[in-house]
Amino acid sequence: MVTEAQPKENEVVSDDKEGDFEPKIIGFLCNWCSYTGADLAGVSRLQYPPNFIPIRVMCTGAVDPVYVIKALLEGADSVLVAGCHPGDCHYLSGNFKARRRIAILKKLLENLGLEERRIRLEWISASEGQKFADTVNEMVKETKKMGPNPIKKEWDI
Amino acid sequence: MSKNVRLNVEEDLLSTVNELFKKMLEKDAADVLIVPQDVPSGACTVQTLVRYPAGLRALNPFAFVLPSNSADILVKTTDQASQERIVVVFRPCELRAVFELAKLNQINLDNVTLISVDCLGTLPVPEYVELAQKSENGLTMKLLFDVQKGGKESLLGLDLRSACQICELPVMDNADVSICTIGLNLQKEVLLKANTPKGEEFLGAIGMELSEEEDPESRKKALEQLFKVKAEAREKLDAQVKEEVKDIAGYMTVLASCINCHNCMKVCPICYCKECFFDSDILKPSPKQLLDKSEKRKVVRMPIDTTLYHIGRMNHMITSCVSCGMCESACPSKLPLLAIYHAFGSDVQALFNYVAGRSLEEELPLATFKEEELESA
Repeated sequence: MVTEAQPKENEVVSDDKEGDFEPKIIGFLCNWCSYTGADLAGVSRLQYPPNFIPIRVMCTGAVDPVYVIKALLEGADSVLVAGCHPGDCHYLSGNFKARRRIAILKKLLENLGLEERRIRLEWISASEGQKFADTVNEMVKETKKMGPNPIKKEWDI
Repeated sequence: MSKNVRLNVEEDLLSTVNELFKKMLEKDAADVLIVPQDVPSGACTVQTLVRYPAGLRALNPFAFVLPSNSADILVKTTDQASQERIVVVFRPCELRAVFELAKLNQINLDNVTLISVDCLGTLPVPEYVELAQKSENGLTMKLLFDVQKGGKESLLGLDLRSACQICELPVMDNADVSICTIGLNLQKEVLLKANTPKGEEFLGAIGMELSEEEDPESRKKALEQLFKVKAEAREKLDAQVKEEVKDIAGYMTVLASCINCHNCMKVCPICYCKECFFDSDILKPSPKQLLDKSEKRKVVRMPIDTTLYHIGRMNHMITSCVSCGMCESACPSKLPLLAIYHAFGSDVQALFNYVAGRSLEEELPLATFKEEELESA
């Protein structure tokens, strides 16, 4: 945990260097579709940047927004929540419920001045390895454009 | 249109209403009443359970004080096996919380008759207690008349709780019965309205003869004026708080003095969980884990997870937030929680065209979904 270089004076979290900001992106991937899709991207040798940290969950409907908030508060620059396409949920309606929860979360964070694009909800099926790689590529690009998560500047969270 | 009946005030308003509720028990229209009564010292008004007429000592549903949101009492007094007929007298914000909790399966309304009172607002509890201890009897009636008259000094120079200043629904027209006081000559009469078949049956059972009379002009006018004042205050507060917390730095300024006591959760009628996620072991690191947090971050605010708690709790309950403002009243650091919850909550509820506590029929936003919606999300 402590292997990283000493943090710079004004940054609480250490991994942003001036000029070449490498974002950290946390992804909650549903076991049945998106995680398998990510796996397919891997076995197909599709290229995507290493900024993405996957977390396997059983369903997007099981992702309490609190964990998305926790990721953002602890220094993630963007968060992806990815699951089965509408109608394909292994548990029938988990992804529809996730969509409402994420919409609520986005609305709240928008009110707190955080770019809503830092949270992304995507439907990626088990056969969409390419879509997974594209999504991560896009997110890294977009997050670099937005810059580091502003929450990292506040040490008193 | 709702059926109604005018109740003539005999001696004074409070004793007339006291008699009315005695009649409910005497005529066996109810087994237990849950009603607000003045404590013997008069220092405060609290909810009481009453089974016999003799238990009705000092009924006072109009007091300008609300120590806690009473919806929780119905969570504790009803369950799936409930048989006893309960009659409650709650304020509109309490009833809105009751509706939300009933939809969350925490209250069984089968044998409950809901009576609402027009609410002209409540004062912060400490200020009310101080006032009540100084005043002679009849504080409630004095305030009630003064407020109806209007004017600056109407509350003896005191301000209502901010939740009351911006109240969206000071009258409730979908409780079973409503006791209407606004815009009426309270020395002479109050209006009882039956808004549901259950309410009609109930008023019939205590011998009231209902008619279909329009609201008196004075009431319509008074309500219109009241809604206008509240809407203006609401707009102002929403805009003010949104400006204050328009970025994370602003939000941190607001939360600067939070002591992480979780009082806002404990008094929230909507937070019904037996154990709150934010009090659970999931968020309790071991001593080593806690110390290790200072390795990655140069500095860690103690106690940890203050912001996580606030944003997280908001995510959990905001769709059902009825803006009763108990959170703000209970906050030892006087954080403007009601203002934040109201401004953010109305935005979120608007996403689903939902207003918390508006009706029993509207489905909870998080318990349902549409196949085609929120495409931009």
